[in-house]
Amino acid sequence: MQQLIFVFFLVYFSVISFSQNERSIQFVPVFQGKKVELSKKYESDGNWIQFESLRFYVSTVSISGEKSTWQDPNGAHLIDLEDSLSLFISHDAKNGNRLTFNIGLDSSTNVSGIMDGDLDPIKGMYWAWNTGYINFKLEGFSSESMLPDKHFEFHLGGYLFPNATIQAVEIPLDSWQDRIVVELELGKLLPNLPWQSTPSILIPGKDAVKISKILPTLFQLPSDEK
Amino acid sequence: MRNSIFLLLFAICCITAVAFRFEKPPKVFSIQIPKKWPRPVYDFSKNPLTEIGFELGRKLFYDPILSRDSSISCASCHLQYTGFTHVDHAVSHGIDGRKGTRNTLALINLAWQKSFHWDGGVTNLETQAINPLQHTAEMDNSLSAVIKRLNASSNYPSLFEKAFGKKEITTSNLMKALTQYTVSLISANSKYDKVSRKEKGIFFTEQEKRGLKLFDAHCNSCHTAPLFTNTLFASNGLKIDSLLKDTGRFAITGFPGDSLNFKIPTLRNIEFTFPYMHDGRFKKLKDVIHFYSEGIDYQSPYLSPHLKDRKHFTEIEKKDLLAFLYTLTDKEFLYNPRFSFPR
Ligand code: HEC
Ligand code: HEC
Repeated sequence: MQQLIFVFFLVYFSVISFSQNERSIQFVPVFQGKKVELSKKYESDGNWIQFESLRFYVSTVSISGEKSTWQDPNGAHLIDLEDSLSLFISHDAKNGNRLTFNIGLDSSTNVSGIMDGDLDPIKGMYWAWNTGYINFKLEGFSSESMLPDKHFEFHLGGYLFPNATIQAVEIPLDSWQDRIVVELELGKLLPNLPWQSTPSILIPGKDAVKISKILPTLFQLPSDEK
Repeated sequence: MRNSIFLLLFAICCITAVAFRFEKPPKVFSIQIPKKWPRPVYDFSKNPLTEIGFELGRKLFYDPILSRDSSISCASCHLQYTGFTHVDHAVSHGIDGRKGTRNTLALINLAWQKSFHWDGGVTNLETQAINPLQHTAEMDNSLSAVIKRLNASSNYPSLFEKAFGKKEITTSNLMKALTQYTVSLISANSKYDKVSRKEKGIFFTEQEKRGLKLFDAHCNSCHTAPLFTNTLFASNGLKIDSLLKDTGRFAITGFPGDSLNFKIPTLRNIEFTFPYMHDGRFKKLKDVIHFYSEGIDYQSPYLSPHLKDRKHFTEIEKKDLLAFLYTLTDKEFLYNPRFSFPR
């Protein structure tokens, strides 16, 4: 009897974990092609950088093909490098040649009342005094930061014209795979950050908009699949 | 056999217990919208008011458990007898990306407001309360610590379960409970209201009538009846404060034209909500009237067009205006036992 239960659970869990991996979009943050590890020091060209936190919202995900389009029924996902499960979004598409999503949240989500789950302000992605969500958050230390402690924090958000920061991303899928891996190359972002003037952006505004516009270029398929 | 009877009895007990719980969901009520008032802005559909939710919000509002050292509650700054504002002194603020000192706002007829705080930076009443909870200058408590403390308390989990059907206290249930209380703070029983409703035996004095006329001509465009605010922002000609250089709405929108624009506050219960203005610069209501007569900065490029026609009030006119403003006092609201410290 006990053995039977054991076998049952074994099968049950393998089915569950299998189905989780089966059809999914996985976000993999990389730095110069290598998977990013938090709190690890990366050196390049005489500079060093250490990432402490990377979080961003992904919303309105869809996969479209010639005949059909899959649309994510779940509104928004918080992708948090610290939480490995959050890097996966499961999908239900059988085929497709185009993946699209937004980095960040639309304005109606920003002005709705209090929300649960990934949108719970307790997740630290919410500004209370100028209500609205932080769409993209990158924090750490870098030799390039002008601050004495070399800290940097880029909290990019804002939904009102002209400071809206939500960005659309479109990735062509050349060959279909149920498991779609999307890399996020932070190396492309770093040269564009205002290390010397404002290594600490904590409010909506021009600076946040400027950096946000670069974000879509970071997303790519892994190079061996291109 | 005995065992199975026990089991059966146990099962029946369980089923009735569960059924009983589902039998009486908390009773939903709606706020009383005073006659001829506009529709409320707050979306009650996502947070239907229940007696038990309201009482929970009221308890939380008065409970210092929300602050880190359990020393202050919402009511420490928002006192019922003074229109739910903090008399005496201005309150210091220091939030991400902005520093300033702002005078506590009165909590009156919030259901009709589109945005909150002097700069309108908060767009929904439900999320407003995150501010005092997170804010070092205020209750100095992080959201997760508050949630943890409430979940660990002996009484709150069961109260939340009764109100929201879930024992676990989350940010959203906490905010919704507080909102059920604050959104119910409706003041519509001042002398002004009773006269407007033509209630028996209540009339304006001649002085109040003259005050109303002046008010309609010079104030009502912004402090529009019946809310005594048009819920917009404006610069009423105050010079920038020398200490904090608070630019108000500009910090939120980034539009230069919004400089020195502040929320147009309600004037209901204005007799008791001193000191006045976003920085509390005027102690007395007659100082405010004196300001509108003598103090407006006409050089300011931000001054609202509604105030560009110079108006000098005579001493008698000032008294008339004051007399009218006193008719906005609603003692039934200020002393309503339903809103007071829960016993
Ligand atoms: C230390 C004093 C203090 C405490 C404690 C406090 N508040 Fe406030 N409250 C203020 C100040 C000051 C403002 C105006 C803020 C601004 O405009 O920047 C305000 C504004 C508000 C507003 C917006 C009103 C409007 O018309 O825009 C609401 C609602 C409110 N508070 C509710 C609460 C609740 C609920 C609590 C408890 C969880 C609370 N407050 C605790 C000082 C306080
Ligand atoms: C252009 C729109 C406008 C007009 C017209 C106007 N006000 Fe105001 N009033 C405001 C604004 C905006 C504030 C808040 C300003 C601030 O704090 O910086 C205010 C604040 C006040 C306050 C202080 C309220 C508080 O809670 O601190 C009083 C009292 C007041 N006004 C009375 C009057 C009277 C009386 C008149 C007519 C003589 C008048 N107002 C005309 C926009 C206006």
